[in-house]
Amino acid sequence: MSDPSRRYRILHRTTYDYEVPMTDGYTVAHLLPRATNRQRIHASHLEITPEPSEYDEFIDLFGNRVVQFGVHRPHSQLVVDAWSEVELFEVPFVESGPPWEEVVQLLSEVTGDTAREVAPFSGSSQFVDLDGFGAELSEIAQVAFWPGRPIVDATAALCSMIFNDFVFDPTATDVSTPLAQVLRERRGVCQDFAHLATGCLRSIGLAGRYVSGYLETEPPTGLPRLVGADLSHAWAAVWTPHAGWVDFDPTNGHLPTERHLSVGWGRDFADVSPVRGVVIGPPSAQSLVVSVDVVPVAP
Amino acid sequence: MSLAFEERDALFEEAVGWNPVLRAALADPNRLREWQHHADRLLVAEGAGHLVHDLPVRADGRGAGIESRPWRLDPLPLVIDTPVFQWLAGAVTERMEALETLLVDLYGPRRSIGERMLPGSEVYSAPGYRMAAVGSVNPIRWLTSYAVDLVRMADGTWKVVQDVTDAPDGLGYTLLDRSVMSRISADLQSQIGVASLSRFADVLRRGLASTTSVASPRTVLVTGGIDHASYIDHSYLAVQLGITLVEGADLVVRQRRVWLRTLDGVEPVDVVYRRLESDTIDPLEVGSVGTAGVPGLLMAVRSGGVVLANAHGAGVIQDPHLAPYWAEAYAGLTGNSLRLEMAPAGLRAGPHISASPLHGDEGVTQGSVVLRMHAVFDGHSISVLPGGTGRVLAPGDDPRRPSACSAKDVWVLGRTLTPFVVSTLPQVDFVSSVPTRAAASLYWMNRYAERTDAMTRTARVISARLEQDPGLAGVDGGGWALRMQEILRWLRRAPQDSSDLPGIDALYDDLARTGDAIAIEIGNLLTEATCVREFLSVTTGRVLERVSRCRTSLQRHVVEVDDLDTLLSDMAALAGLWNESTVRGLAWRIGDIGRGLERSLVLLDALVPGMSVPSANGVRTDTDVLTLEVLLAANESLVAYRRRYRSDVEVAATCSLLITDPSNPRSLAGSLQRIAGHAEAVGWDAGRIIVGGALDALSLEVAEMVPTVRGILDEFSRAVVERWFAAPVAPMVVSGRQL
Repeated sequence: MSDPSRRYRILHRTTYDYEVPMTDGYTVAHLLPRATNRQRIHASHLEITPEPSEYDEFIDLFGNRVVQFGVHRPHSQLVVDAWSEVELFEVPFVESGPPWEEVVQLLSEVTGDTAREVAPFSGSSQFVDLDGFGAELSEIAQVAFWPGRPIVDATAALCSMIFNDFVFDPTATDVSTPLAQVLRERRGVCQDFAHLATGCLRSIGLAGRYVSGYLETEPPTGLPRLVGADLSHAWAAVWTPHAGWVDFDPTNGHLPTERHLSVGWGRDFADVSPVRGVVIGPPSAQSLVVSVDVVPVAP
Repeated sequence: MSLAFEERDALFEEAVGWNPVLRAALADPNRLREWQHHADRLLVAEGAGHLVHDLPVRADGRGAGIESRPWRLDPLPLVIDTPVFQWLAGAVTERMEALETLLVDLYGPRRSIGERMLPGSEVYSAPGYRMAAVGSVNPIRWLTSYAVDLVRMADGTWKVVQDVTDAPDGLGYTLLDRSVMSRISADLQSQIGVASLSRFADVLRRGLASTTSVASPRTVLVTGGIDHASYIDHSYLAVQLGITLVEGADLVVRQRRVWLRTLDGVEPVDVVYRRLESDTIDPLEVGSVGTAGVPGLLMAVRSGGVVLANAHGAGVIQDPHLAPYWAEAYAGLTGNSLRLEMAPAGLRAGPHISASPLHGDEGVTQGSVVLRMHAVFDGHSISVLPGGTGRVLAPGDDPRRPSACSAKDVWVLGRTLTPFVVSTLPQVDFVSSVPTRAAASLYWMNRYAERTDAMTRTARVISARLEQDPGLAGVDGGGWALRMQEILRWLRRAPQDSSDLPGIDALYDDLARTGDAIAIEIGNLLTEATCVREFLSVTTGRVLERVSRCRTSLQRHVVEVDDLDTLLSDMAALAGLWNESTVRGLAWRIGDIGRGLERSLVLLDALVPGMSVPSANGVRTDTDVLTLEVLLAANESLVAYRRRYRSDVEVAATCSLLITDPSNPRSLAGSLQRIAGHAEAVGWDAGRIIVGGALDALSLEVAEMVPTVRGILDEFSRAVVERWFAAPVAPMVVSGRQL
């Protein structure tokens, strides 16, 4: 018997370096993890260097915690450290659920809060273009979603299919790679696969959302844990009538997601990009380094 | 093709037939032609013609994206009878209220989504549905202004082509068109009782003020700048409203408030009359495009530090996928139906739309027109403009995107309509504080004007000399011609730009190149002037229009003395207006520093080749004498010289008159003292000290003085930019991805 819960300390460090000092910088961060039914947030805060001139924290439409801050003096480096301590509970066992077509039918009729909850995750969004690629996405989805297959089983099959048929390749894509290229080249990173998975779900009438968070990576047996080797990660979730949102990780072929710590979710990457900003200053070379450390700690 | 008489009669019968005065007035082809000519001229004078549409790309890339084309005003108005207008006004009011109700729901309780009155997933996919506005602080009002495009179908019913709710445009154009039409046909208008539009800007101003609880709100109109397709609309309206026209870079967010950068520092802004589209207003927002807006603006909105009008997110109404559902959703929410229905999908200009008489170069023809109407919520009720703009559709046009570039004034016959009564609001505006960017444009405008003037005058003097005395080409074995070429090159700042042509042809070639350089300089001048159009008088606008025409002729022809003379008198008019018709505030002083600085630099440029004279031993060639004369003439100092010295041109005396004589406003000493005076007046000690250094250096030998003073002035011009215009450069978006 494992413990009913595990606790992690997370440090997510984002460092921007500018060759020439920037006079002004505005940043929006989705870095503070939200509470969910399987994670409790014991502590979380940002440490920003240089000290921001203004700071604002609010909850967005999806319930995510958003921080917006401004540094209004010359700076050639910006470091954002997000510290969190999160207690993660076991993923409850998820039943296979009803045939997926029944879910599609239900979604087309559902009203009230559920209708409002699933609406954002049912159509096209900036990175999930159903108008352009709906047919192609639905063709991929059909392979896993055969007639009468229970929703969770079919989603698990889609998850493994993407894991098996697409190559993880950080050199193949960048932050704004459209689905078109991922579909054509069959390679990408977690962000692309999460978009692909949500797109497949939405293309056949299901609701799929993009989840941003962390994955605890196990060091190879006998080797020490490498600081900063963990990743800012992204996966997907499908809406089911019997179990609500069910997370799955197409990049690793996982359903359920045992070692996944959620930060937030949205329609796609744009809604929850960890750090996004605008800097004002002379033209300058800039570099961005991100390191993530997820360390198990004693409860 | 022009219409036959019978056809035209039938059209007029339908359009204006019941009104004999109007019918008689409009059916006269000669009068219409005269009106057309008049309208074309007036519209161009307002800067609505090619002044904005034919500008060069600015150094920072602005001005590159102008896609709109100049439009022409069709002197045949679209006439709307009182009862028809009253019906339309009622229906437009009802529709604006309905859209307001829908927006309140879409960004608040979202019953329309929960109860499936419209497709929820389409709402979230619509780029106009702004996440930052969902569940955020509700604005006092979503729609302060509203525009709607309507067509009259062949069966006589009016249908909605599109609602414009994000940053409704066209009110400025409508007021501009009316001001032109009133110049042309004021008598006819008063004879038949055309409803006046004159107080509508006041209604809008009151509406903008009502969006905030601040008592005397400071309001700005934010535009995308001269490369925004509706820039003329924005700048004309800003003048009518009496509010400051600003670009995104003029505003900065600090401590959850919005501030306007001005020459005097920053000033708080309470209401932003937003003419930038939602997806460009704040580059930090999810789904925003480009970096034109104000970073952090939506945070200020969320914190209640500023209000946007229309509210952020109002543009979702324009989404073409959702538009067909609004009526049904409104019925679902309120049980009410709308009098105005949407036009059938895919409607194109043609027989389904009723025909109107049109006027153009071929006389009277007929075609479809789409009517844009404007409504404003003033804090209590909705007012509908008794007028509007009719845009002519080319055959087959989607009525949402007319391509004919021809507009009609809309005459509502409304003697009986209640006029707008607007109380004067306590208004705090920025008359005294000029946005930094505008001041920079005034400064550069003056520098370009001065350079244009100097190049033109020099080219004119040389061309005229050559014309009078072709023998000059042979003086000193072509030495004179070479010297003149050198002066021209220095003035156009291309001293290395030598011609390969033999003999005198090289000088003509240089004159032609100088003509091209003048055209480029005028282009720069016009671009800057257009950016600050609202600070310049109407007369200045007319002069700029003439300058613009000179530019076109310089681009097309060889340089003619007559062309240069015309340009010189226009430039003199511009300088006169700058001196005589501009309020002597801080901005004027900064602009005038630009003029004095460029005049000094121009003179230094001309002195390099002009004074390369062996002054010590007094041995002078004919070329030397003639060059000094040209130099004096080009600086409008030859007459002064003759009066003062009554002798042949001498080097020492020329030096004195052009360099050290402070009583000559064209001398270096005169120009530098002018700059120093401005620096002192605005309390800019650092600037005054730099210029003082330049004044001291004037006593040096010419050969040493020129590079010394030029170096000091280069330092000074950098100091001007740093002290007065240190504005942020283009923002960059930074972001990382997830692996």
